[in-house]
Amino acid sequence: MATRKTTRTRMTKTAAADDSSRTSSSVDEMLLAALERGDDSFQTGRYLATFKEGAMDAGAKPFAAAQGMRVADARDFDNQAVAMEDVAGADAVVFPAIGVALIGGDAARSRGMTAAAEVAPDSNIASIDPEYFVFSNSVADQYFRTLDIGTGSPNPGEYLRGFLRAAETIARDLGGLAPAPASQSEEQALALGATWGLIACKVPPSSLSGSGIKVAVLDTGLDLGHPDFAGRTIVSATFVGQPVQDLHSHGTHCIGTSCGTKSPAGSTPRYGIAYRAAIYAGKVLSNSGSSVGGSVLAGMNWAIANKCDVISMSLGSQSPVQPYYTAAGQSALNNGLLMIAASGNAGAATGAPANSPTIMSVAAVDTNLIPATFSNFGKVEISGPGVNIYSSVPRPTRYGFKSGTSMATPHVAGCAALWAETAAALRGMALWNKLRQTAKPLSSPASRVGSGLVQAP
Amino acid sequence: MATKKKDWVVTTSGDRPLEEVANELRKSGFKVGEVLHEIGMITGEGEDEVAEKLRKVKGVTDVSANVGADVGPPGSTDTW
Repeated sequence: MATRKTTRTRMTKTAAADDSSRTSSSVDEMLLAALERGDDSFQTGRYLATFKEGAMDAGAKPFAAAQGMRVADARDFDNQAVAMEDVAGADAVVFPAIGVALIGGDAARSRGMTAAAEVAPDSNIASIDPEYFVFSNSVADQYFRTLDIGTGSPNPGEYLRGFLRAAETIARDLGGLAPAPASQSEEQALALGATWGLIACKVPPSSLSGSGIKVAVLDTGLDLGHPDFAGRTIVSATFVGQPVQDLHSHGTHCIGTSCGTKSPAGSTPRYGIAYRAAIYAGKVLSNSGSSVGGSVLAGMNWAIANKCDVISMSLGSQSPVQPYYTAAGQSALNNGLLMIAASGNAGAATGAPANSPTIMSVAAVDTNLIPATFSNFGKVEISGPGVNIYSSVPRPTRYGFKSGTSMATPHVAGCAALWAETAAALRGMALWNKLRQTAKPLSSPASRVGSGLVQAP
Repeated sequence: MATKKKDWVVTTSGDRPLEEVANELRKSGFKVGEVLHEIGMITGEGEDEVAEKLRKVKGVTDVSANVGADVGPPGSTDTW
């Protein structure tokens, strides 16, 4: 497996010749291209042409002939289920059932068929609009909320919000969506200037910043261009054959909690703990959220080679103790480093690697400091806030909520960096013991919450 | 008939140079992925029969199938 190491610089724009907005482009390709061009518009670069009623009855051929395009017709696929990767080479795909055609960015621009162009009155096209990315409901909602906050300009999210509401309603009718979670904790956070998790861990009153401490986060990478990480020391490496740039969101969320900024822009509450720590972003999980071959171990090896004082791993599998994870955790301790891992969300016995005796296992508690129902139990050393956690996510969304022991773990990692900053002797096993000794005792059994809730110095 | 190839993690005792162990694993038919010096491990691919051979190599303390790890699909609010 190839290992690609990069020190941090903002991603450079690649040649425009590489058209990422073809009809067959994957969402990942288009998202990466949007991030590279610094585009916060939510647009994919492709266009949607809506036909006048009845104009498409004759099918794709007249449209194709008029525009000189290579056109794929949804009716050529079984049940009109178009597999987008199978339309490579087509300039446009027509969907006769809804009277809409999806047009590739280059094909549309070269024919003047963009949203800005006037549609001729005698045309059989009613309108041409940009295509937008569609994100899962909670993060998109959050994005629209941030658009409302602190910007004096007219809200560009209004149309999209309406569109999203409609899409959500349809999805819910089809039984695909759970009801939206309550946002009480978010209102609380806005009022107090910090997330509930940071407040519970006594982070805001702490004078420490993690300065001089290296924190490795082995996850899905980081949005390297996220404005909240501008100016930070970031060392990154990928072990999955994909760029470090996080197209998943899990890694950016975890790094946000452990190492995010003290003062996010506008009225965004503080969500990050060790705001001056050096960030080591190791991409050991692909953009689909899974490890590739031995990527997790390769990332652990890299973090130890770089002498990262704290190694945070919000990942795992529901499996018994793995001898290799135990050995890797021991290597870290032998080097004066500490591995911290999420116990898991199966509501069952702690998974690997957190179940190894040499790796600190973190359980999740909610705002009432009660263990989350999903939080794994048994081998648990300590707890962290892990329900409705607000942190950074990749642009253009920027912020969002997630739940899991994955979110509890970076609270422990961030506090560990603060403790490590207080004394050079607090490393490895000494740091492990300090975190446990200073945890806030909770009323739940140790098998659920370990020594209690992690606390900042 | 040979079984399907799997991802394995070979843990070593540290008594022998890791590259030397890696070479011996290769001779046993193991497709070495990475040699991880900091943690004394070698990852790679091979059939069950190959893994069984690796266990007999001097300096090898454990050969386990790699269980992998994940955090669920992109954009999900509930994770690992």
